Order: sequence, then C-alpha cells, then structure tokens
Amino acid sequence: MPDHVIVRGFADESIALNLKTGQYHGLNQSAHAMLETLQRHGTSEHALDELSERFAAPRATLRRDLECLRADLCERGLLEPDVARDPLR
Amino acid sequence: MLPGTPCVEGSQGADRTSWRVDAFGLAVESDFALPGLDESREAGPLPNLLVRRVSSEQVDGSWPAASALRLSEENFGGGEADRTVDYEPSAGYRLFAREFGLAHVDPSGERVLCVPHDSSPWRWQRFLVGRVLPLASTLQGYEPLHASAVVVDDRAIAIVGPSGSGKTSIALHLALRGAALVTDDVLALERHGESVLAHPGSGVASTRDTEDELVRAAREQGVGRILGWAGKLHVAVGRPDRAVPLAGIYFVRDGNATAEVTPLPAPDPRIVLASMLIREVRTPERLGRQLDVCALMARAVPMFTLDRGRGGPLRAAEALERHTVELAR
Repeated sequence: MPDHVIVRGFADESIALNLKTGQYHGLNQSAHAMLETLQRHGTSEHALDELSERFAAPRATLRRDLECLRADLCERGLLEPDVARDPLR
Repeated sequence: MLPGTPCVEGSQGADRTSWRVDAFGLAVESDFALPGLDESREAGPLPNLLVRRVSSEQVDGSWPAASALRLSEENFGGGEADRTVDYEPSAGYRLFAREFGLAHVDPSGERVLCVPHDSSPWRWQRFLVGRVLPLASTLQGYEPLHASAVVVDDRAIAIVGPSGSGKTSIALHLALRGAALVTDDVLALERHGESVLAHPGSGVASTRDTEDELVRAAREQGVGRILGWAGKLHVAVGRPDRAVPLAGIYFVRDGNATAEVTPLPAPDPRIVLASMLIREVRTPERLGRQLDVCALMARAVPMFTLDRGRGGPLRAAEALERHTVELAR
C-alpha cells in the first residue's frame, strides 16, 4: 500500500484515507479482509488459500472478486499496481 | 429575554500587560483580557499560544492576499462575504467574521494577532473561542470535536450535535446538578496512548435566552455567573483544572417521544468524522491524525444516541445523568 494511504478499522467497516487527495473511502469487512490479504500476498495462490478458508467461497469467485477489488483500489489511488507481486498475471 | 448588558471579565489593572488562561490544551498568554476566559492554569505543561491585540491594518498590512487561497466563504445577505477563512502556507490563516472580529493565526498555531470588533465583547468572545482558539489548537496537534462536555466521576462526557440541538442546555442542566463544565461547543481532544483526553475549553456556555427555567435555576442555585447577552445568553461555569479521560460520547437526536439513551455498538465512522471541527486544516499530517483519533474513539470510547424526547433539555439531561451512573459501574 502506498505511503500516502492509511487505513483505520471501525466496528463494521474500515476507512481508507488518501492523504494526497484528502478523500475518504469506505471498505466493508470483506473488502478490508481482502485488502489485508492483498497487502500480504498480492493476488497469489496463497492469498486465495487464505480467503477461501476465511469465506468458504469457490476459488473462482474469490479470484474474480479479489481482482475486481484490486482494480478498484488502483483506480482510486489506494493501491499501486505491482505486477511483480502478481504471479497470476 | 434578559436585558442585554454585556460585561467583560478579567481584571483590567492599568499596569497589567499579560493574562494567562489555559484552554483547548494551550497555555494562552495574551496582552489583553480575553472576555469570558478567566485566568486559569491546567496541571501539567501545555504548548504555548501568544495572543496579541492589534489593528486591522496590522493584520491586513502583512497578509499576502494575492497568493492566499480562500478556503471558505459564507454570505448571509448579499454583497461582500460575511465570514471567510483564507490560507497561505508561509503566513497561516486569516479568519474574518463581520461584526465578530478578525484574526491571523500563524502556521504553527503558536501566535495569534486579533482584532476584536467594536461591538459587544460577547460577539468577539464567540469568535475567539468558537473559531480562533480551536484553529490554533488544531495546528498544535489537538482534535476539536463539535461538542459540549461535562465531568462526571473525573471523566468527561461529550454531548455531540449540530448547532441548535440543545447540547449546551443539556450540559448546563447537568452543571446545575453538580457536574463541572469542561467546555461548550468545542472539545479539544488529545490521543494519550490507547485513551483519549479531553481538555477544558473556555468555561463559558452560550445558550439561547429562551431557557428561562435554566436561567432561573442557575440564579437560584448560584451555579455559574450570568455574564451577558448578545444573541445568546452567556453563563460562566466552573471548569476542571486539567484534562480528563473521555468516557462517553452522546449524539443528540430527535427521535422518540421520551428522552432516552441507546447504545451505539457500531458507530458509523462518517458520523464520527463529521462531528470533528476545523475542516480548514487539511494537511496530510492533520488528516491522518484526525482519522487516528476517530478510530481510537470508536474502539475505546462508548458511544450512544441521546433522544431528546419532548420534555426539553432538562429531561434529556436527567436521562443522560441516569445513564452515566450506569456507565460508571
């Protein structure tokens, strides 16, 4: 996650703040869990293993959701595209 | 409506050149008596703020108007703006409120040049404690919450709500019942490890003068001093001499017919963030700190809604007082 983004947890959601733009973004619990996983493992098979265990969902669904979230976060400037940590590409 | 007889607090000895009052987490030293801010010293060292009374020519003569950015502007009746906040990175902030005053706060929040308006000192006081000092407090690392607050069992209870929601009246009713008033309208918060500290504000509460019951009770019980009237009634109430832990936040709302308190186990972060003041300071450092404090409050400070009901602020204060007793157990 870039240095200009901070994420803080609240009860039911997290708030990501882009310090460059001053914009706030809300992440529900699922998105926050996926974001943490993205930070640790990128979109690797390890990430899917972890999410599959947590959410008990099909890997294909998780893979799609994780990629969508990643793209959304990148578009919002909250995550930097990192091809090197994306072995699925 | 009470007769409007504004008065200025603080001694005005001919040889006196400085006054000291601790408010909003700052050790404020001024070269003139600040209305409604009785001299006081908070236990423990505080960052300094120098307040100097100057002329408008001195403020605007050195203000870099050409390169300043207009952060906010309010116009209430056409023509020129009635309230403005301008910013220039090397100069700081210029605050103007027509018929209230003018102030220049330096970028560090350590120095204020102010130009009180010639009208009622209570208009100037409201500008000072409602805008200028909270801005300086923010620049020096505190986070102001739009709240009134009282002390119960050595802990602060914050009452949050927009202007006109009754938070001052509720706080004053609690003061009549023995609580000390931490602040009215602006509560300076400071992160202290995994807890939040609340610093005393001005010790003056400003409420709409229709609260005849409140005024009568204040006079009968000798709680507070009626200082004057300028659109609102200004009452000086004893305040604590040190910062106290923040123990609860009550969001005032119109909902049920009866006054009651409802827990908020999962407060919406947007509501918490929206309750913070001083939106003009938007540096990355400040925004990050503000989010940190809000997240800490959400996990460490119990939050509740306080339905005012239809019985007025007295009933709401009674409901809140009952709840704080339970909270303390």
